[in-house]
Amino acid sequence: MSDTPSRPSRRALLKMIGLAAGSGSMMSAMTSLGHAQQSPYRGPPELSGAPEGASVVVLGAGLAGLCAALELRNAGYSVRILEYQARAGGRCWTLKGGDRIEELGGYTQDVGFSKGQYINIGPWRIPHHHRALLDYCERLNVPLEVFVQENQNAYLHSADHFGGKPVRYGHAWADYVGQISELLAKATNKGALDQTASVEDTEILLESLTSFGVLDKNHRYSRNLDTAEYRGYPDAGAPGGGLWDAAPEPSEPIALNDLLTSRFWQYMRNHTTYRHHAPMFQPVGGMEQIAQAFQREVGDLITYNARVTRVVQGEDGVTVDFDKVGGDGEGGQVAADYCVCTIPFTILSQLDVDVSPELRRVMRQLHYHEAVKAGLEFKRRFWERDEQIYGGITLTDLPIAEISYPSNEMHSSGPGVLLGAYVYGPQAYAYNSMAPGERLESVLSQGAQIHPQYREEFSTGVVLSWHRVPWMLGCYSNWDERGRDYEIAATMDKRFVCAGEHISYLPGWQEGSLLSALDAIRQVHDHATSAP
Amino acid sequence: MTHVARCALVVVFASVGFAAWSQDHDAPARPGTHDLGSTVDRFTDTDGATLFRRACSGCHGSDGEGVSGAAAYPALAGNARMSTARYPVNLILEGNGAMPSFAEWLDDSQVAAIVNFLRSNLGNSYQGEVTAEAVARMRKEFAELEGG
Repeated sequence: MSDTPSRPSRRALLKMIGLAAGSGSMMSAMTSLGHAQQSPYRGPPELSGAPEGASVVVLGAGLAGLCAALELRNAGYSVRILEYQARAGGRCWTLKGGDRIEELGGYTQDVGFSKGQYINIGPWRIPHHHRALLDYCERLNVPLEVFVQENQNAYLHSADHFGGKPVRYGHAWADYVGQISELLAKATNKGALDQTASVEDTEILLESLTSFGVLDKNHRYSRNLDTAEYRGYPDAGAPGGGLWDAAPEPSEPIALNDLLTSRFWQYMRNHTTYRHHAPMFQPVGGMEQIAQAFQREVGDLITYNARVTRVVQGEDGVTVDFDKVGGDGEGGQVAADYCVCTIPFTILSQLDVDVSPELRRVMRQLHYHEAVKAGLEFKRRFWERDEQIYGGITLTDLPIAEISYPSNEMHSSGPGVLLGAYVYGPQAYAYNSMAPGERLESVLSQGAQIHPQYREEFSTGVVLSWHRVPWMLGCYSNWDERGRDYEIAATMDKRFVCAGEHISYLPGWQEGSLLSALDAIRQVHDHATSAP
Repeated sequence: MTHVARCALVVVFASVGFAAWSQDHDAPARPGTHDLGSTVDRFTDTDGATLFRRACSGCHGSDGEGVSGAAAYPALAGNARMSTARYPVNLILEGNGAMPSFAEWLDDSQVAAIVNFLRSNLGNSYQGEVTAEAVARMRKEFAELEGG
């Protein structure tokens, strides 16, 4: 195997250009070499010439609101943020020991995790191409670590196949690829492709299927040491050293029919979707580190426990009324030249907001996904110790849908927190109707079918239903088709402009919140600087 | 946070009734229970009261009393808008604001069962039942309005 290029690699070339001419020319060279950035993010906004004394009120201190406030203040605007909760961050939310979750309808859950343990109950991973978010993490000094998305040693599981026992993802993957390659090779050998492929192409195809599918000289995918190099070895037959049990043994592939009827194939492109391409990242210490980093910058602008009730637009500005959430204080009113509103449409559509009838209609028509997520702490990291699973995700057709193993503190002898369920659709509503203890019991009983250690090792857990989160009433936006309605939602209405993940093509991703916020403040600034 | 491709496999688990539970007390655990009256893409119950509990009560309250935070899930109990079946049928199929559409997850009989339950329980006592056929007609009509 040779990685040695016969001519200067593109990277080496870029490095030479960069050294010779500075990074600016490296950027333009990258673009001209067809290496354009994979994101509309072009760095922090350059907003010069803000009018003296111009002001903006930002509604919501999630990532979109915090980002908008940070950049607007840097540009010279006078900024104030109103936030419903007593904390900043919105859905960028990490649950730790001592936290209390209050759900609509009166349920409370006290998070009992050990010191240092946490669950990211909202967003939990960052694609490497989410350049705005990664840039803000760098600028705001938020250390990142790798988030393991794909793990060949994690499981696929079906309650009704393989005796309900989990199957290693890598076994199913190698065997499925091998056997569909074998089938295609068979068809090719029988002349099935003669009408569509030249003799030469057919020969190359057979060669590629043999290589890609790890087929033998008869184009069969079978039990041998070559396939074991990909799918792995029997438990006691892995390659060793010395004399005792050292020589590797081949392993038996799973029959194609079993793979087909188990429907495991439906999971096999999960980790290869663009948004999940490796490597992914997570902040060290929890996703909320990002919110806290923003808060360090603009926390002084935030009024907490402020429930917005009314927005009125005049010729020259916007007036926002708010109540004090929960008791003390009187609430108040904020007047500003502009309003950047990051309140989710589930809530905004119910408030007295002075915008066009079209925008009001779009607010009512955009619906939000449901989601239920569970964080389960176990006394011992049995998935690592007993099953050699370090990070990654097990997928199952049980309602919990997945189990994600922590990417932090691998090999620790202490406890660990799993994402024990991530439920959408009707089953999420079923959990939404259950008391937290009943949800937890259901999640544990399912997880125990995959990991028998669950009952013995479980210490404490939380199960959150996003429809019961008082400041969200849902999880994230669910556009059927964006079209004209999206343009209406994303366009400034007089002096009021919306921002957040719902005003993006990246619903549910923090990158969408940031890019939306940057576009919203661009509209504010354009208006402010073009006004006569 | 995003949606992994989900299985469209319909697995109907044996129906196991849940013990009664209240907002204040967690139900006794039933080991091995994973009957949620639903699959990844549909609700499986047929009875109106059970469907109300699974699909509606989590937001609107176990007695349909409504709840509120930064905004509200309105009360279904004693709700004058239930006087015509068309109103709840429209909300269930089309959604509005924080209420998502349940059109893909409930068939016409299930929608009728929920609406008939709502209109004659929770302090509502409106006459006349809506049929699955009527729901089917409204489903078509609302979809056409939406498309136009």
